[in-house]
Amino acid sequence: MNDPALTIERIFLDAACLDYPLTRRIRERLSGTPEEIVQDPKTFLEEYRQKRTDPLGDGKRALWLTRQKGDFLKPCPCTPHYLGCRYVTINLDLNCPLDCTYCILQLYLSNPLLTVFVNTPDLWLELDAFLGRRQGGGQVRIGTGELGDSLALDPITERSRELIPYFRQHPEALFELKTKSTHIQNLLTIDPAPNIVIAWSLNAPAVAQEDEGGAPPVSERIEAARRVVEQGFRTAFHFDPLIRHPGWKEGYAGVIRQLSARIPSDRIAWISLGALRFPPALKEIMAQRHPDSRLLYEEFIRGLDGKFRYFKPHRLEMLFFTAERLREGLGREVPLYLCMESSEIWRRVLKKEPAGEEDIEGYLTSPAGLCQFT
Amino acid sequence: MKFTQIDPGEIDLADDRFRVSFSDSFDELVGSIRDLGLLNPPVLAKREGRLILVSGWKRVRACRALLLSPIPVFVEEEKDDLELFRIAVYENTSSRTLSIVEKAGILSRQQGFGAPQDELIRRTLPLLGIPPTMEYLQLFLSVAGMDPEEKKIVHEKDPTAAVLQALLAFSPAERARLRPWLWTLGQNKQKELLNTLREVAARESISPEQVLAHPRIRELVAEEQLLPRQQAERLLDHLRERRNPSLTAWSRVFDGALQKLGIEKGIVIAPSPFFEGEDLSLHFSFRSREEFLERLARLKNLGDRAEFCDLFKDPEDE
Repeated sequence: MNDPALTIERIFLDAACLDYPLTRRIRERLSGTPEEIVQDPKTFLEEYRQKRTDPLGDGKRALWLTRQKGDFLKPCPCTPHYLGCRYVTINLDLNCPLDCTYCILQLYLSNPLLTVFVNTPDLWLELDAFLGRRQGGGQVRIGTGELGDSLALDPITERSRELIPYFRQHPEALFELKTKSTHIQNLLTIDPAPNIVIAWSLNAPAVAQEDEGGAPPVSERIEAARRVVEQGFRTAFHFDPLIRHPGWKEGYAGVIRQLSARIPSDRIAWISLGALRFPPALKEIMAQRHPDSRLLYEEFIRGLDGKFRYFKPHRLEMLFFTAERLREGLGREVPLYLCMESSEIWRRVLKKEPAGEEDIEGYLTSPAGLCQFT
Repeated sequence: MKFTQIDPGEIDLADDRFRVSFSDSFDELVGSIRDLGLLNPPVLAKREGRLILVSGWKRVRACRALLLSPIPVFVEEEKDDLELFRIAVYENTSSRTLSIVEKAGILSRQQGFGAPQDELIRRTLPLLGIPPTMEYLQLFLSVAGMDPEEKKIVHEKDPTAAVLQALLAFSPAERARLRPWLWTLGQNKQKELLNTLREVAARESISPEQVLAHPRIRELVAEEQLLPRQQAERLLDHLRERRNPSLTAWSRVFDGALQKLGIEKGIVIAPSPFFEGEDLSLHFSFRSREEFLERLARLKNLGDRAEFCDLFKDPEDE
């Protein structure tokens, strides 16, 4: 994966944000990159989108430094009619320099630029208040990586160097950084903590190559995970989205073999599995932006939430196959969970039927292997 | 701009560079001009010594048909083509709803007259009621590039942008092949037909033309007693089956199991939509307590039959 310092062609600066330390740090890291100060962000963003054939593609090479005007913290939206896990997301960045064909952000974000919210002091205040309210409750799973990759911009933002020390002081939170990148340089200089989890999204090599534009090969992601584990961190993996393609069984089995050979299972906090799903409106964007991707031509149905999903028997086959290979390779103690699936699929794939979201949260925050559903 | 009176025969109608209207019909104007006279003078321009029309095509043709002369006109002598065309566009957009083909023509001509892309996106697209993005500009410029016969159909049918987008994914020859069926359907099904055809072609790694050459489609087209709309519906059913073979197979197995049970009319047993949920649903109606109890007794008998369990079988386990 390319260094973001090399791929960013222009920095747009919200005139109201020039004095934040993070703004100054990024400008220093990217010194020499052309800059433009924006007085009227609303008009600027509208015009940026209007004038381009592929604003999303162009936006991946342009950095927008601005303020988070809303809340940094949001409950993970999950999806109606399927089981969630009460995850809390921290929206520090919007968008991602990678260009995955299936990425939901292509639909969700009206702002196409790589956006970094630089008002970090507001983040700490919001986190303090949120975690303060949870004192005495169970551990909360919280992480970045919902609306952007947690580490893709880390070489220039160095957010990991602030977030990890913060959460080390807050054991009531189980903090996850989630990435496809291999930008672990900063992590290797930080002391680990039991409540910090560095997670990688993994996929079959053919999917990584054809549908995860700009992302490093899966073997490099696993190697990055190994080095982070060596540094003392716990890790996690997300096989999400699982994608049907010719040779998918061998593809996923091969990745799981690599994973099992290189990562000790007792250092894995959890592994999630989720089959490809997307809102209908994303289909047209995918077809337009990635006309060569074959991903859209599998058999999809409209799920209970209205999203396109693989036809249930196909979904079950993929989830069951992957879960079994993971059990064989890593043992039965590593907590596996399903993202946005029904109780039926949980029961049929993992032979567990959570009573609800709280149950799943408890399962994932307990020490590995010690928890069963209530 | 000069106001004057001229004989409509002096106007060179062959030069239609500013024409926005796609339709030739002016019959509705003849009656109104006969009764009330020409209330809104056309706008003309002078080019190489000729008088050409900027706006008022239908009005001038109606006046000619009524042999009216002279007629009041405005003549603009100083503005360039782009400025004059803007007058034509404003006059048309303020007085009537334009079709997709007319909007496409406006954008294409404005571009031809040298309007910068930024102006087309930021000024013309919103004026035409189109979202101001490059994507929409390109879509409408593609419509302007269609052949006259196809443009005529698009003008009449005035499809949605989503249908147009789906249509333009096909080559002109493929679009011509689809023409007898496509436009007989409603807009949702037009879009479904186009997208499903494209997806079947991609799934099977063949061209859309090869998809349409399937023997079942040839048979269907050969059935002369079917109306084009019925042919289109059957084509769509056929494509849906090819697009979703597993779902089709499951539906057939379920329908077969229902058929074996011979469920009487008035009782409906259905799987969850697309077999996504585990539950089956039952629907029946009744008019009295007696009928209700009778239906329940019949349902009880149905449930007691061994074949009833076939409704819950996973077809892939067989």
